[in-house]
Amino acid sequence: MMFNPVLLIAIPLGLAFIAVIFKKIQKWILALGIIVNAVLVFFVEKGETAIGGFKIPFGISLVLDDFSAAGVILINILALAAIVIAFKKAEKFAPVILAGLAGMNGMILTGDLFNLFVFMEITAISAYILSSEGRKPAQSFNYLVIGSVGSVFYLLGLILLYNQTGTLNMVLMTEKTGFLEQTVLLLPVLLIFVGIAVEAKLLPMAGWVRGVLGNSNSYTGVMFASVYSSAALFVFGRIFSQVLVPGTTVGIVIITIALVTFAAGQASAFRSKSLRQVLLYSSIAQSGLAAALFATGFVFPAVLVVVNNAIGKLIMFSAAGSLEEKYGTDDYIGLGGAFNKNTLTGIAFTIAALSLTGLPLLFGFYAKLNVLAAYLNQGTFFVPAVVLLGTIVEGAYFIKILIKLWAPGKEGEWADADQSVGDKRIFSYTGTIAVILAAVLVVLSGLLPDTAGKLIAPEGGLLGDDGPAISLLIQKGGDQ
Amino acid sequence: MIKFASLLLIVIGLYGILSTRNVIKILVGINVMEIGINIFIIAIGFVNGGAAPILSVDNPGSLLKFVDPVAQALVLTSIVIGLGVTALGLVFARKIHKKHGTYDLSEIGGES
Amino acid sequence: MNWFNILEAGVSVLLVAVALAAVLSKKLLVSIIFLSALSMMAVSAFALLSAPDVAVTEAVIGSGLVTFIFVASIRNLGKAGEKL
Repeated sequence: MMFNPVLLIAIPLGLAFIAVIFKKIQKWILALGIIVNAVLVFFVEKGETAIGGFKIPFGISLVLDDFSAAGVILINILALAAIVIAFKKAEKFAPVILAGLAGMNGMILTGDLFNLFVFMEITAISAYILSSEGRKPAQSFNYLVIGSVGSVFYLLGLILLYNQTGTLNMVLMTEKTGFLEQTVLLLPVLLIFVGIAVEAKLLPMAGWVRGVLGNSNSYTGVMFASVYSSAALFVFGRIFSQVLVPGTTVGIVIITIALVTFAAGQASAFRSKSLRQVLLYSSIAQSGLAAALFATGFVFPAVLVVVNNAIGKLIMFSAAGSLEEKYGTDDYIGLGGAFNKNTLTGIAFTIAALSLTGLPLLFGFYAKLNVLAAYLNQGTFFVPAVVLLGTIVEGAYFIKILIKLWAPGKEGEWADADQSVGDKRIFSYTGTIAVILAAVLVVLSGLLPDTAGKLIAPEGGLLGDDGPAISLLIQKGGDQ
Repeated sequence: MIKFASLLLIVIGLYGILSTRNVIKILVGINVMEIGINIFIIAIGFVNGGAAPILSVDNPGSLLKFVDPVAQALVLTSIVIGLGVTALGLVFARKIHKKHGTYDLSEIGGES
Repeated sequence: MNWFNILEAGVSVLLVAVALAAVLSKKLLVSIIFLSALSMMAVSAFALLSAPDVAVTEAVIGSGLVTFIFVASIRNLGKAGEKL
């Protein structure tokens, strides 16, 4: 039995309105909506679905290919994991979360550029409301202003394209922009880039990230760092590696911006003293890397980076938010030894951090290896050098944090029990189980990378790229 | 002509957002930008001498030159989204005022 | 030069002038009133560009509702010594 993909948008949106009316049972409606969506996402029909009764180039269509399937599965599972970890914090935002989920599914699935704008605004409004949980209204306001300016830019770019091509449908847009001069496309493509860069956390528009993610709790941190940002990056990938493939000039501008974002993010993370700030700068850096890959056309490695970052940040941001609530401090030196009392969570956090750095036998290694191999196959050496340098910095700050959190005190001394912070449990049982499961997923997909790659791209490639640039399947002897 | 005026409105709105630290004035700037982009979209869809894209007894569809209805549909959506964002922005403005007693972001300081 | 061009030029000049007034005025209430006026100018621009349905929507939402929520929110908070 296969279902219509429009249900992925319609069910959470409908339940969001029901949750507004029945406030008493809204947490059960939230749980129902998220669970139904997380199951349904495996049973949706592939292909292009017209909605609204118009034929496809004239009406709005939903496109479910391998790329958007990977996107919606990731988003819905992450949303489920996020509410399992911190259901108490999520339940009062039930309508907002459901509407946001509908918006994100719509963003990834839609085949129409204006419809994409509408879904991006729905998602953004739900994100603004969630950010108000940080009790820093000035930061939420800042986020709202940056988001609104970005969306005006997006709309301006979209209308300029519409004026040139006469269509809003992504497939037709791809065809018709092929006939246009690069100089004509320069301005609209850059305007659209600015609009999407807000949610994707790329540098010129990433000013909101520090204020919002730096004050996040164990629920909103996960939503911003892994759910919303993955959705935005999937949209970035759809637009810049399929619909508006940037030509040489625009491509160089976008890739440079993305790489600068990567480098600046890693450098700022290295300088930061607070756990959540390190994590948020690391998120900015990973977004930059994924955006650079998407803009170059390496879709499969980019999706691997997005998935790795999403799972890693799910574990790390939920732990960081929870640590801040329990111990009242965010400084990782002040949190020394917190993992000695929470061994399982600590192990999950360690696995996530090492996977983000790209340690062998973890999923992150496969992702990094694919990134490097894609560039080296193409004959580019500058970008891999930047990526490797960033990875060294990344490894340095993550190992610094891990040492502090496991072993307090001075270097070279054995940790004493009394040097650790007090004995407080970070997560509830369900939260611990969810975090452990995510960590097991990272390890398993690291041990069986080709199976994981097949799950992400069943046909071998996404949006017409070559798929895995490198295979880690251990060959049986003499199988040359 | 009106096209350029609307682009100018977007620039004026951007200037308004960047030149002040008062939250209400920033929201006014955002609204000016949104009005600018809305007029720009309608102006892009305009055909000189075109009739309004509404079918009626004295406007039978086959006889007349119409302006682009898609652009108008986009603007209707965009106006409503703009209202939602403005309302949410005013809620944040109220929260800022409640917490800090001022609308001026420069009086609040960086870390709050 | 026909009537359409003259009207278009007039509306354009007024749009820019009113927008500048809204952004540059020092008092919040004045700024909001100019924003409302700008919205009315947008209504006439929409009507001029053969978009009567958009004009009606803009008149109700942009000029009516937006102005209302702006004024309502600054009036309630103005008592704390804020200069309107």
